[in-house]
Amino acid sequence: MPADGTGTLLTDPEVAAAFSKGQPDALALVYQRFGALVYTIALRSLDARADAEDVTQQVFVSAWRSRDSFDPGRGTLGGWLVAITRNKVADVLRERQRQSRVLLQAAGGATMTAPEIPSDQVVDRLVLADELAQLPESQRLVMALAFYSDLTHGQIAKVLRLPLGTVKSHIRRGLQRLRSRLEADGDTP
Amino acid sequence: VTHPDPVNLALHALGGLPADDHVQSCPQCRDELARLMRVVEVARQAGPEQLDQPTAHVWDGIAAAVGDSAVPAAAANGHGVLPPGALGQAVPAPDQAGPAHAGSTPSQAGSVPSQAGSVPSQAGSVPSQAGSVPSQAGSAPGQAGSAPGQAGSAPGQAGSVPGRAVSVPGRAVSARGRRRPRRRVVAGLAGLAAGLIIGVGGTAGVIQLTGSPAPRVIAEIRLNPLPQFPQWQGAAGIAVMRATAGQPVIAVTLQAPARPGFYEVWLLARNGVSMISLGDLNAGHTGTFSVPPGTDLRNYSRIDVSLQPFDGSTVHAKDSVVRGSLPPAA
Repeated sequence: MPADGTGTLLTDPEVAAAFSKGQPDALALVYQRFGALVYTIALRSLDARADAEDVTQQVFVSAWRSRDSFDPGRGTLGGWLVAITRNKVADVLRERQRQSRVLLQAAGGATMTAPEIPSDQVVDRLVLADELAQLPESQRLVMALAFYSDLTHGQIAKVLRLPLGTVKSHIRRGLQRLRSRLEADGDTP
Repeated sequence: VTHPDPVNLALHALGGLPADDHVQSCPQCRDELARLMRVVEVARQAGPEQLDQPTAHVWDGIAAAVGDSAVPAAAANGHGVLPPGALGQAVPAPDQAGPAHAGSTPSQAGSVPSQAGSVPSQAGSVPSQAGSVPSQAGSAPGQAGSAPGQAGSAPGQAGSVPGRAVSVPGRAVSARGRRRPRRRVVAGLAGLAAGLIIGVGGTAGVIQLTGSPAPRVIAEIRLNPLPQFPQWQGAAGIAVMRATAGQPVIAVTLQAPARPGFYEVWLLARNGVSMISLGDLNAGHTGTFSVPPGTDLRNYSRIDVSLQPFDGSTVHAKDSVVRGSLPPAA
């Protein structure tokens, strides 16, 4: 099935297999498929473009160097990359905290708040957005209308000129697919 | 035990069907429903999300750090702009997409990495280079996206640029209109990727615009093809107008084939001559637009979607795809 959102013509498991075998162009494939997700999680968590770009680079470089530790049997590549991203983001936040502590001490001392880590909600939402973008176009439109418009499935069928049965099966399969991805790659159990 | 049709569970999770007694009493169905509802909840938490594309130099840095081992020839030999170039080839375009492919050849992509990487934040350099791409790239169906370097500005964008009022015979030019050719070209490169993602957000961008999950629907308007344009007889559309704290917002979804050019949404005045451009539909043929302040909707009471050529002109191309009227009360 072609992925007509971000990414490649390969399925996620195919990308993961290429990656864990260390195939020559595998990192490029992985970046094509997951670069936007990693970058956006970092950007929303750090709220600074340069930091998000740094984190994105670190995530993919470190993923490549430690690719032997990725086991496709134990989890998805997307989930593994999201976990690395969270760690790198937490590193940046800790470093920011350290710097502000230094500044605050210099300024006469003050209390510190705990460093934030990327919020689970942010990660979940972006993982979901990423999977939505992978859906074939008509299914994606059906899901978007089902989530965000007030249209009933009957109205969606009319607007998109699809048979009602097609709309229903798009909704059922789409929701199942989003659920699998969210449960595999998202953060909240 | 007969479990209900899984379709019904899905529809129930979306709020479109009441749950039946069985679901309440069956642990298996209850669990399934709870998991589906969580997906719906996450999706609706903040309205449609959109991923931002990192700029090309992010990949260049990665490629440089890992060396040749992990980088395909095309990216390693100086055409380091993997995401846009690769996507242009990897994504099968809708009808008549030949030009989009032509536009995504490495020739222009190759000019990026020389500057990329050395400049910390050179987002601006990506669009400007893309602007030199042969103009046919701009006729890709997926023209609605934002350039990679402008990531993040997409779904609300159309809505945040209220159109300028123009009248048909005039040669009205707005700042927005003058920018158009470059923007099309840029988007032609990235649009196939970004535009399609926006397709998700476009229909529902209203939620982001207003910050409230369910603004009141004022009107749902069917948009139908006009008898005088037989070439559009298969087309259809719907416009949903909602009340917000500020200006009314109109979300348009068009069902029409991808054609060279782009679809633009207008408000037509009763006299049939004056019109206001609301903005362009994205590659998913959806868009959400704010009605410009001061617009008298009793006069500008019809919504029209036109197919516009990439000629830089800001006037209605007189190729109306579908049209519909606001109800008198709106």
